[in-house]
Amino acid sequence: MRIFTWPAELPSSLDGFFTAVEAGAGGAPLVELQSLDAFRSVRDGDEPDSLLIIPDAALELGGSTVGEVTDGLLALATAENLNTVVITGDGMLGVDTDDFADAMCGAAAVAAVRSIAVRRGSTSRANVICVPAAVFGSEGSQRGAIPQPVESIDVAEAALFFLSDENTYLNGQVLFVNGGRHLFSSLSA
Amino acid sequence: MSNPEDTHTSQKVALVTGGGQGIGAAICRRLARDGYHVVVNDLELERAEVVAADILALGGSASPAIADISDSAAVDRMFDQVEAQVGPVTALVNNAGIGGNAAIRNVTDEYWAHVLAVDLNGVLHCTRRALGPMRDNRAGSIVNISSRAWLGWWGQSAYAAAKAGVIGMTRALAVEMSSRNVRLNVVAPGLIDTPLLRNREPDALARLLKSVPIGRVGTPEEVASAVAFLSSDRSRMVTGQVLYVCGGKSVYAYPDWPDEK
Repeated sequence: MRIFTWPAELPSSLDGFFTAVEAGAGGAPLVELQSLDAFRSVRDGDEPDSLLIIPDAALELGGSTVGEVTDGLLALATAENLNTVVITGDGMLGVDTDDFADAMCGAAAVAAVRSIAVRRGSTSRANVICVPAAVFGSEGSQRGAIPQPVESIDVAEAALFFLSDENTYLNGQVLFVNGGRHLFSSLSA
Repeated sequence: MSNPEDTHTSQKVALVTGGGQGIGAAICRRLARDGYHVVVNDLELERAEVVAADILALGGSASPAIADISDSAAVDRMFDQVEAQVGPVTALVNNAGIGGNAAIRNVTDEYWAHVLAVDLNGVLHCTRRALGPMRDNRAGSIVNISSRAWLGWWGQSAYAAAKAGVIGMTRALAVEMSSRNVRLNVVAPGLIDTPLLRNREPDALARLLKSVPIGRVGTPEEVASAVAFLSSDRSRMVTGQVLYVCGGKSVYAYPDWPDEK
């Protein structure tokens, strides 16, 4: 099983993320994608694979637009035998900054993952990890109920949890790794 | 039945209610594998002893503890004993519960009170008692087993009310305890392979499976894996989460509509 990852470059706030995932993934090779569009051409066939994507990192670094991210997510909808993990901001709960684009990107990711979970559940599964936008280097509040900040290792542990063969009954879930910030929103249970 | 060599106070101690069978037993075995001394609570001593003996045979550390969780005095006594024997509980898993399937015309006052006494009050009794030392020690994790059924399903009014209550209690306490380094989360299983489920008519099970996107029932071990993650420091920034272990049924469970009865 391979783990396709995108984007190749992450903000410095996520330093060590891919290293931690690689160390915990039990030898599964990480394959960097240059773009989300490239996934279908790089992945030959329908052998069981994983896909670990961080759209907000691409947005933060200016490498992609929200439109390109949603187009890429749409292209995933037909993939078979794929375990998809999307890491995105928790802005879909509503933001108190001007990062509306990031919030809308996160909402699109959650809707795409939940639809893949239902529509493709017989062969594929998909889950979302929602983190504070500060994890991607964005300005704005990251304070959750837990006073400590979310670090890249916390995000990596959550990703490894969804990538693990022990957890194949998890499908369509939204895991908030945000120190409980979601508890103050009605869109969170 | 505890292993005396492991009874120093700095060890990780997990207490799993309803640990004598089904999902609870799988949680006990998993947490033992992860290095906890596991206190196997059950109503029946023999069931708890069997699970504890299994864990010991595999090289783990475990002890049985009998208490009816709907009785707060019995719960307090159980925790007193556990603390004296192996130290304070660092991970509590409120798993014990009773199921039930009753159309509203059959939901008597007695039935309603019984379901809530075990499935909601029982969680309160254990949580309240465990949180004292956790708050003082500024460390601990509680995982409460709710159910996907709280979202709504036929014949589940009492059960869903209790399991929704568990989620509300968990979220409120997650906020209340967040500055104390104590986390509370919920695991909400969907259809899990337990004796209760296997006793269903094959046709009824097939109908239920149509509402599960993955198309199979889950295993107790898959629920246990989620509990282990939420109990551990791997999830140190996760609190107040409701994690469904349900194959996607929580996303949108298109029902095989039953006939009106």
